[in-house]
Amino acid sequence: MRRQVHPDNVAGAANSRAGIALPGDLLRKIYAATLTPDFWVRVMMLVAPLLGCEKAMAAGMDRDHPQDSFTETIGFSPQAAVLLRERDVAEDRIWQAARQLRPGTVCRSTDLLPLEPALRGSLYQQLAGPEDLRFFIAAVLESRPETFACIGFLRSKERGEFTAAEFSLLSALTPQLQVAAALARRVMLGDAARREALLSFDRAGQALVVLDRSGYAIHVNAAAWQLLERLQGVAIKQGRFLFDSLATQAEFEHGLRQAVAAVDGTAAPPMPLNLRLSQRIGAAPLALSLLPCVDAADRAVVPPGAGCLVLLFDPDRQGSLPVAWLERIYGLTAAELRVCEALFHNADIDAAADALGLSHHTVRSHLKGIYAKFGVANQGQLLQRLAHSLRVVAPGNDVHVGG
Amino acid sequence: MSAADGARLPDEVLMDLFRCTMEPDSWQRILALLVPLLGGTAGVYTRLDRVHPRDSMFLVHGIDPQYLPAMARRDLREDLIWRELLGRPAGTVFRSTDVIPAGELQANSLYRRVALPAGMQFALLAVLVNQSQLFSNVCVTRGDRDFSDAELALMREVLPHLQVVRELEERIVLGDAGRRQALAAFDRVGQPLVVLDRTGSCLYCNSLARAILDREDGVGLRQGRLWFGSLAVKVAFEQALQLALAAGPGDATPLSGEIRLQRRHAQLPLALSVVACNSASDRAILPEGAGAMLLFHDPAMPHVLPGEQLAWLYRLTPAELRVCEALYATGTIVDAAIRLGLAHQTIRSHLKSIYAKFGVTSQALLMQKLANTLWMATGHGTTVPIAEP
Repeated sequence: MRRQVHPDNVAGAANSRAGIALPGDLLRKIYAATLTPDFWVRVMMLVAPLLGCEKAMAAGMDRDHPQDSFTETIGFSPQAAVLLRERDVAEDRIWQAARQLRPGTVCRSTDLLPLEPALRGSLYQQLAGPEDLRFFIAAVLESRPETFACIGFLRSKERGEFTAAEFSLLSALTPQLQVAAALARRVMLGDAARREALLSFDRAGQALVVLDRSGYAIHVNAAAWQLLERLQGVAIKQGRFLFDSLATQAEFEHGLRQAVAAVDGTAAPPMPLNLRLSQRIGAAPLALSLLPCVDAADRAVVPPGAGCLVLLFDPDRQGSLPVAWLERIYGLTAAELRVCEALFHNADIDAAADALGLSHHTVRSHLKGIYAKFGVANQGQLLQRLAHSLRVVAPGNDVHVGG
Repeated sequence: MSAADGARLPDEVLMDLFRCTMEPDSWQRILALLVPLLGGTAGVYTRLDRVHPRDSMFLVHGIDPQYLPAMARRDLREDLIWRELLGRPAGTVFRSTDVIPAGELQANSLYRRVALPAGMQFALLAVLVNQSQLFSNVCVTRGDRDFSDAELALMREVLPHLQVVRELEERIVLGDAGRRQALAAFDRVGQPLVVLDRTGSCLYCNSLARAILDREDGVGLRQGRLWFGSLAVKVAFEQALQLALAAGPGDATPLSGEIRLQRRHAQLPLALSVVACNSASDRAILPEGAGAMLLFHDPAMPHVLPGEQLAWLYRLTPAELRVCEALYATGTIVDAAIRLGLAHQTIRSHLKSIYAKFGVTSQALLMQKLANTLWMATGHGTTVPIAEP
């Protein structure tokens, strides 16, 4: 049975006790940690010594966004850290008891439940004994039906129960930790959104080069590298765009100067400079656009210090069809998908049949089914549909942000 | 009430300060906190971006608006304090009287014109950042008496926090802008998108999706929720939504539902896919509380080729461009001829020169090249205008 939490032991965000002055340096370090990706580890490292602990854990559960759930630990052996991360939350009685508390509450394990039943659970037998854990103090940072987050500090039997001073310290710190945790989350999500926005170029297969104000390339995406490697007449050497044609080079440099002037605010944004780069006979020319990076929206996405963006368009580009998506939307069979792909990458039905090692007639009969599924009447329209499917965005299908 | 007597920054104030950084009008709120804390009557926050001057910011608190034009117009070379600020490293705190002795204030024209009438005679200044690209400072002023040593000490104590606050605010603002941009990527590629929360209510709907929802008679948005004309489709949607919501973060391929919506008056169906938002990238882009995404795909939607760019890139004549566009839209030479009102043979002869310009040998390859130019219209921003060569 759960023991009632004694009101004196509970300090919420609203009734945090005045008089406990936290070291200013500690708060500055905690807030500065919100700018770093390992916020929780830093916070635990900062706070644990003040509470006389070496071991600590921070955990969050988010039902709306399960990918935001986390368990971070310090001081535990690697096995124990894994055990904590993979624990069955339903079995974790302290977690279950803390789950009932209001946000901002600070509690000790002995406030929440008598020690004996807790120690009987297999999680505690695996953890508490080997890790020499006896006392636990925790602060509930967030508690809503869909989300819950807390931070806890643990110590051994020898160190004794947490003192009133330590309790007050964590109580005074809790509202600050709540704000810091919310900030860390905003920063983390914002950074991820900016990476995603930059990735949207990659996902669309759009070759992108970001130049600083001197024309030095500070970001070249994979599509741009591939394109530049293949192209004639243009290259990035030592971070700068070099064109074989002097006229093109002069035009580019002029465009760059204009773009930088626009970024400086000394000139109105010019029309984007567009260069047509002829390739060998039979190949499509390459289009290159130079855009000044004047919008705040651009700067949110591109790396800091950007002066202008260079977009390269390769009309010869052949994307690969989003097979899984086509299968889902049009209900194509595996054989039909193969025919679609072959047809898309070959000039005509005969070439597609050759590529697949099928007879002309088999491909034709597949095509009948494909036409019906796409709702088209001819090969041209089918190719158009397939080409459009290249532009389908389904985030999460293929791109994952780091971390 | 000034906290300067204690010369210690109360923890609650500090917490409020950081809480402010999450608000859209963060610096206004921060100044509103800071000015009374330091016993001032007005405050100014300046951010000077030397690489992107448009990002520079000048925010005031507690200054009569009539003095703002004069402040903005002031000659920075004449402003001794400003010159002093620009020369000091980050982390410096000083009083205006450290730069201009109180007795000489009247002699300084800027002071006579702006600072004195606005009640900003005495200032307490702090440099937050002073780098080659970025300079930022905060200043608290009052008119009746100079700032005390205790107030100077308090500003020294607040300054490291303000530096963190500034960095946080900047990261948050950039992050929010990045999120809007990432979401706009759907618009750029012409993908209609609806974001639903976990209860199925609409959180976000881009303009393309709104156009479909307004236009279609079998599906629409009513009071923030999707409704369907057919019960079978409604059931299929609910099932797909439940599946999408149940998808865990570990699921490599998001579970998704494909729903085919037969339209009454059109031959082609509308495809609707319910996609789980279960990856970190979805989480980063989509609005808070997103449960599932709804992607529409309208096979009947015409895709318009970027004619101007196409003609520029491949040096097409206007007639050739028209043939290309008609062929792309209809798919066959016969239909293209009907659409343009031209003879079959005329189209064929145009096609010969078009094939040569594109360097292709078949209609299928031409279709692919044409489809590829769609990208040119959707690189960055809504469109990339192409100047005439």
